[in-house]
Amino acid sequence: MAAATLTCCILITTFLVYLIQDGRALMLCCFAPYCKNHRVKIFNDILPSWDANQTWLVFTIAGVYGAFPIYFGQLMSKYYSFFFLMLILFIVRGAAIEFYIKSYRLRSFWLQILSLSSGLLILSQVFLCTILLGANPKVFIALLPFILWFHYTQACNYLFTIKHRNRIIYVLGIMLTSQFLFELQHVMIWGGLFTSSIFLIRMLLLGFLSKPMPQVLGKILMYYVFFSNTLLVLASGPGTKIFTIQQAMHSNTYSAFFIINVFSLALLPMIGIGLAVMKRIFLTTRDEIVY
Amino acid sequence: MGALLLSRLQFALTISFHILFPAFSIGLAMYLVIIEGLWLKTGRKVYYQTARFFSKMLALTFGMGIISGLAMAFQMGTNWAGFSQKVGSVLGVLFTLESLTAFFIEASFLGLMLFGWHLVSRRWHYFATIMVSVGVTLSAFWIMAANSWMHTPAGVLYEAGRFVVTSWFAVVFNPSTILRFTHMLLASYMATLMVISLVAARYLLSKKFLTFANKNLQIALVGLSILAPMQVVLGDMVGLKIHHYQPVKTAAIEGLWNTQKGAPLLIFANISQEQRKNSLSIGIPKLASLINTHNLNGEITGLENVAASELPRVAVVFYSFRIMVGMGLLIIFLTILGLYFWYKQSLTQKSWYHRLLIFSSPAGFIALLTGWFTSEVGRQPWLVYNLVKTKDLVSHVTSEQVLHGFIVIVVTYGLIFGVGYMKFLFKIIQIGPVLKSRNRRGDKWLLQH
Repeated sequence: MAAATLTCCILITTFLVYLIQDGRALMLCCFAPYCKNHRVKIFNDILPSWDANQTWLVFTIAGVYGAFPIYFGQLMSKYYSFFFLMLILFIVRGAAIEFYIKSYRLRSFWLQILSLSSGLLILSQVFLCTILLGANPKVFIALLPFILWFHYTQACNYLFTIKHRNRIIYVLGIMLTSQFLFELQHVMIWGGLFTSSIFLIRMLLLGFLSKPMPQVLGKILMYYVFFSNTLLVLASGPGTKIFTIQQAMHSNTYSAFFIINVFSLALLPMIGIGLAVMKRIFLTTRDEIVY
Repeated sequence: MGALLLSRLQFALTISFHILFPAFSIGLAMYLVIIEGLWLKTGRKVYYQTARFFSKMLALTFGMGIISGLAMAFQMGTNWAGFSQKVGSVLGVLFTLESLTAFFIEASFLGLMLFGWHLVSRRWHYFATIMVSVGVTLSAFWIMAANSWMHTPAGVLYEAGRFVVTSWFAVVFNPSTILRFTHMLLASYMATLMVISLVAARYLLSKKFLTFANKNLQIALVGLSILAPMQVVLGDMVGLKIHHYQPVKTAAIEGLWNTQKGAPLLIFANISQEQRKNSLSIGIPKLASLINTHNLNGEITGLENVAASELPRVAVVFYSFRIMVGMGLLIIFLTILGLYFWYKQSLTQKSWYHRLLIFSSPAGFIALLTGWFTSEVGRQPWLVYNLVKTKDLVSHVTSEQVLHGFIVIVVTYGLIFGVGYMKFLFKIIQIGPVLKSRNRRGDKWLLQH
């Protein structure tokens, strides 16, 4: 496989890992002010892996910068205001997490700021995906309910006790219905056998996911759904734009990116497993983690 | 103001804020490795107390470092699209390697180090601390390699407006990488030790946590007494390199408009860049030649033949360098004084010395910042020395767009990093090294080990 294609695949994967990992944390932060009983658990989940989540994004940014510098420069300067807003949101959210832990008097203020900035960051994630996939408004419409649903399901699946189940399933039902309509729109707009088959598989899986099931199996299925959504959008047309950036990789970086790709393929799964093990350690405690 | 100047100001502001956090993190991480190692070896409570206390500071500082660092990554594209296009294929590879090696090491072990005190064994925890320190040091290495390449570019050909790499080894280990990396590393350690001495001095003055304060002040003094002489030697070696590769910067540092043999070291000069002369100056004869060439009558090329468009801001470079050296000398003086009082067994009683330490505690960070100003302003107008100019790399964005962003950055950075960070840092110091855990298992764990 050509260095550019492999690099592109690795960067898409790391970006999706960022979306998945940080997406759950973002949604949990959105919930944090409104579920006092679960707040300890929420922060036990977010705090140890917060910087790891950002690292997936930083790696993606650095990778695009190194492998496709022309595309990077053009994209960032074209959407200057959006990227600036996103940057400020990252700064405010990061500061809100730190200051929430340390603060006493303004604790609830920082919690609200954390919730608000996290919500806006979820929206900016959708917008960022749309930009990466060719800035097509249809993609935005298709992605918005999906990403919201995905992060929401991840957060709920992981966090909530049976006590809240009815409420969760009610909200999930609304989101799933809207998701169904937008999925249907995918098929109607872009058509094709591949799109239709993915749509059918995904709908079946979405049905499964709204029922309680072992967490590991649930997670695997959710990840499949998430990745297949990306495949769907890529295969549907506007996504093909992303592959034109292969030409933007300069030949002199081929050798460097060959090595980086080999390292990435070897290291990134190990890092993912390592972080999951670390997370497991923190989830074994019911006490509030302190430093 | 045009988009170029605003973008430069914005980058200067954001990187000046940012550099403080990684530097402090590098120093704190290394300090924690030493302290936790001492605790593992001796089992003394004071070391455990110290490790817990400074890991709180590390957590806050590290978080600020991550979010202020994101601004750097974004700005490379938003404000400096030309930089990405021309230089991205070289520096981007180094940044990717930084993320892959350093950032992921930090990310994998930081959570365990900060929050895993009661959840894993002591040895695992110490391993996590070491790995965090390795991660931040590696990160500094890649960044310094990238920055040094911009000062002394090597291993590339510049063809048709883009860099073609001929040797990645030469890019990474360009002529100034190792020296500048080591210089920066020592500066970070020294700046951190000055903050540690601030904490210790504050507690000694208020007669609180005396064992903790005394031990930390002693460790800081030992550290500074080892690092300060090394830094002087390294600084001299960096100076020789600058003189060899960037003679214009050396001339700006020395404020020399005319080529001279046996050039004086100017302590003060009223520099007029327009008239290309110093209207008033006080100097020590021959010292600049001695420092830059190791020869009393060595020749230093002046700025007389440099075109006005290729001159850096001489006054900024000149005074930044003097402030850096002044702060370094202040640290050396305070260290010698502290060691003397320690020898006389009166280190804990000299309250005026403790006040002096508190007052001088920012010296390390001021030296670090002014060192960077000297280095970066001295390289202007070049971004990649003698190859690519800064003005050719700015994005095609309007000055209004940049101005709006700049205002938002000033307000956000001022509030979050200026007010917020400092407030919570001082709050940590105010609370002190109290071993009060909300987790009962923590106390048991301490007793068991």
